[in-house]
Amino acid sequence: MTTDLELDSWRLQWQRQPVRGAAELKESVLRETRRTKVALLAPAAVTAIIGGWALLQVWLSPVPSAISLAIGVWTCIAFAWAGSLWLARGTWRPRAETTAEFLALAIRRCESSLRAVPFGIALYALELAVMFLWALRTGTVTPTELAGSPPIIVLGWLGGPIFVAGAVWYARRKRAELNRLLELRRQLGED
Amino acid sequence: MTDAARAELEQRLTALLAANGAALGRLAASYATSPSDRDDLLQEISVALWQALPRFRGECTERTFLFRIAHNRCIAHLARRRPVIPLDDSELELPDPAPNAESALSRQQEGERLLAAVRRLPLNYRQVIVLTLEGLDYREIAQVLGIGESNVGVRLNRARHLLRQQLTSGDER
Repeated sequence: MTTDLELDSWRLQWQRQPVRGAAELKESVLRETRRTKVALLAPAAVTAIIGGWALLQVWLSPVPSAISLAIGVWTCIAFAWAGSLWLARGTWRPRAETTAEFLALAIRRCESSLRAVPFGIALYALELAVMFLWALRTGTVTPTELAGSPPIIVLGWLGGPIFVAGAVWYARRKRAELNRLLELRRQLGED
Repeated sequence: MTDAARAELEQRLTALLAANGAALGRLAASYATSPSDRDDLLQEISVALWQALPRFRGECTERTFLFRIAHNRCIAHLARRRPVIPLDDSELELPDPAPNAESALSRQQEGERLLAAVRRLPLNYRQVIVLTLEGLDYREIAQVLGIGESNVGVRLNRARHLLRQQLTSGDER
């Protein structure tokens, strides 16, 4: 076995760096895992609360307005879940445990997030349309009066542009991340 | 996951972190831009390790597996950050070593200077040199990075050459 003085000296310097304690690290892992679980359960919880509430209205008073509201709510829920699952295909885990595959997965996830932006905007528009049509069919107001009502002003005229602006900002962030990932892949391929 | 399986997993994680926590901290430092950034990355690595541990089937050593997970997290971390800006020259210009070359301060400065120089290396060379400094051999590095052993040798030679240049130019300033 040969001695490599330069490498040994670097190794010594390198391994002297001060580091964080392992116990503290484990605690932060468990804390973060709890947060991740909550984040994973959130979409299911929202589905159960909103969808359940719509079904409860039908069960308590099975009138046409409650039935049409439940149909509208569940159409939106089905659209949201189908779209999310379709967008998430191929992004669950790497096909192999290599850096190249991990990078490929990160790129697929970024592309999926970018495709999710127009989908999110379409979903928001669908929800607004369902709400508008339901209010129009069940209420006594004219379309003009409804367009000027507080819920439509808040969710449509104000909320719509804010939602779109947020989506555009998110897309720009994701596009920048995608470019960095592609650059990292190029760098890693170089010898 | 049953309570027993979870407890066993927690034990494995504790043992892995106790044995390799320091190495993971140094690895994170070589990809981070500040101490808080390093702590965030270290936490991300540990969480990824916790999630990946149940998938570990012993097809490589635990250390190789751990470094593979850690490297992948580091790459994801780099992608989320703003473009990697090379460190300022001022960050390499540490005060002159103390008269007593054996002093703790001097040793710390040497370590910091080496870390700053490692951070300046291109990513493909940085990966190989960090793993070498952590004591992994060619075969283990090849397994971690998913490249051939001969490729590891080529990259390591170039990384050493660049690192030497960085450290020498730092000395000359």
